[in-house]
Amino acid sequence: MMEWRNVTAGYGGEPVLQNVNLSLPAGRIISLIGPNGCGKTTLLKTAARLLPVKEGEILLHGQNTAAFTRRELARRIAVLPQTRDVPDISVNALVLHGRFPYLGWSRQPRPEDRELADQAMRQTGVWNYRTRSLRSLSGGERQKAYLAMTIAQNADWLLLDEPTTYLDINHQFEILKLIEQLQKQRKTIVMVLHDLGQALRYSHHIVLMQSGKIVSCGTPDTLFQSGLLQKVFHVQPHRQEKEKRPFYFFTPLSD
Amino acid sequence: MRIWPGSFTLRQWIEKSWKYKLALLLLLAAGLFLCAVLSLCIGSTSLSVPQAFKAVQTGDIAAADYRILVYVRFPRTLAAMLSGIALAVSGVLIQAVLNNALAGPNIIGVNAGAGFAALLAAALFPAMPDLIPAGAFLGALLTGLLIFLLAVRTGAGRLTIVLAGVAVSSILSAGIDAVTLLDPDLAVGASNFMIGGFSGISLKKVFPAGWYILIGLLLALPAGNELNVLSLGEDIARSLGMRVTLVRLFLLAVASVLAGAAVSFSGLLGFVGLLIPHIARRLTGNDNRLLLPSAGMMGGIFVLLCDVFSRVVFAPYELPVGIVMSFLGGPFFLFLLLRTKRRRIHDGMA
Repeated sequence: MMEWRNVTAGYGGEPVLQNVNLSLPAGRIISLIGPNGCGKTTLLKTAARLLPVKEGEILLHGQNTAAFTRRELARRIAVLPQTRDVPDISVNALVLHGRFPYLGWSRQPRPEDRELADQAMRQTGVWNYRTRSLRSLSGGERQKAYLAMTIAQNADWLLLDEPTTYLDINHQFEILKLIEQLQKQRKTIVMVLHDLGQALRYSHHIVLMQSGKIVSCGTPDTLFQSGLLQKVFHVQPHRQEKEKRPFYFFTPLSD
Repeated sequence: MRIWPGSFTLRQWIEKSWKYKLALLLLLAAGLFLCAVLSLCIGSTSLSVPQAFKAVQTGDIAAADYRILVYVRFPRTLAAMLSGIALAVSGVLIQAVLNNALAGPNIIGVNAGAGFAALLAAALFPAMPDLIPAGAFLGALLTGLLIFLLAVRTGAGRLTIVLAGVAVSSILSAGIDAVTLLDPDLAVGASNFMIGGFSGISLKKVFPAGWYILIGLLLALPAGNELNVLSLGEDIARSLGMRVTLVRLFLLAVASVLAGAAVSFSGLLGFVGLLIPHIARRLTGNDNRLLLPSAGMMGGIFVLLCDVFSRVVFAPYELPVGIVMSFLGGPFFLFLLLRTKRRRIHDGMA
């Protein structure tokens, strides 16, 4: 479980997040949603200590994350930021970098590091183009390669910032399916999702944010019934079931 | 059609084959050795290899061959090799630390900073020539830190950093001009210093700066994997457990030691630090573990060859090597840029 106690954080100047209290259950798929600029990415980055906690504390399974070294933290929490440089290196090289927090002084990957990287590449389906350069890949393939790197990091918590944005729709579903698979392997996934329907359909737990505050925190169905979606996004949500699984879609409020 | 070794198939082969890597390193080492021998033998008085070997073996201090070899050619060869290696490795480090393929020790002003401080030391304490390398190092380090702070604090884009570097560089060059104008005793030496060259060099001038370079290389060469991780971007490097700011500061300090030490005895041979990393990257791909040693050796080869050329082309007169380097290196660099696909340049700056 990750517990936020009175956390204030942000970039320089006025903090984006003020006195956030939040508890995220382990082993679930958790989505952060909210209008643009509401602090979702800031929250994700603060959770991974990519941004400093100015006040308050974040506890990971009872331990203050500020007490971990970067290396220790990297073995527990893996992050995939949304904007990235795309270096001209092979997929294989990228995924092996996921093992960085485990390497010794020589920085040489051990056989088990290669084994875990290979597994991650097989799981994400990038195995067949592992020798190709990242720059030669499509957006979806690239995203899967980065996801493989994050998986190779072998952390229990995966924080993903908009893992499906800008991808073709089939790739979006592939990524979401992978995320479900990872959750079944007992990982906790915390992600920022832009697509409300996907967030509600694929998550166990939804954190709704608005201008730096947590508006609600609970299951998709409680959120659906709360009427908060209308208030925050100014849309009318609809719920239907197909093959015993709910899916959600949205129409403008005036209709 | 892909003719140039930036092409994809060759890249794949490089990534796969440790044989290629080993062959490349051995080839470069052999090339470096060959160029050093060439530099020892060729000049206004040329010696054949057996002649040179014999002169050293007999060790007759009175013989002209021996004196030329030991007091002129050897210090010169060592100086050219060390400064080439140091500037090229420094260039690779700076490009990786600033995550900017346009950066290099001369572009961001590290060389000018070293030059300014070295001249200032020479002007203020003419009796203490040992201060020059220390001054050069300090100047390089301070300039490097200034650019780094600009990059980190302002969150400035890559192009801004380069422009800031150009501005800092021109301020420091003005400083160099001012020092040389105010201290006419320095003026003659200073113009040579600014072009860069090795004529009249002695072992006393090369060391202790040479030791700084060796230490810098020992610290830089194992850092290939850290550079690779840095190239993934700050956030990813940090989330992989790297202490990014610390690593960057450390590597920038190492780059400054290397560039500052080289500049202190070779003058402002700036171009090597930009040119060689780019050429080397064509052969090695972007794996810094291979790039660092390859670029180092190529830097040594390039400076040695330019120096030999500068001695031979108008013999018995000499051109300062800095001029030769720019005349040879500049067009070649332009040629490379023209062959580079447009896309890659854009990606590098995005």
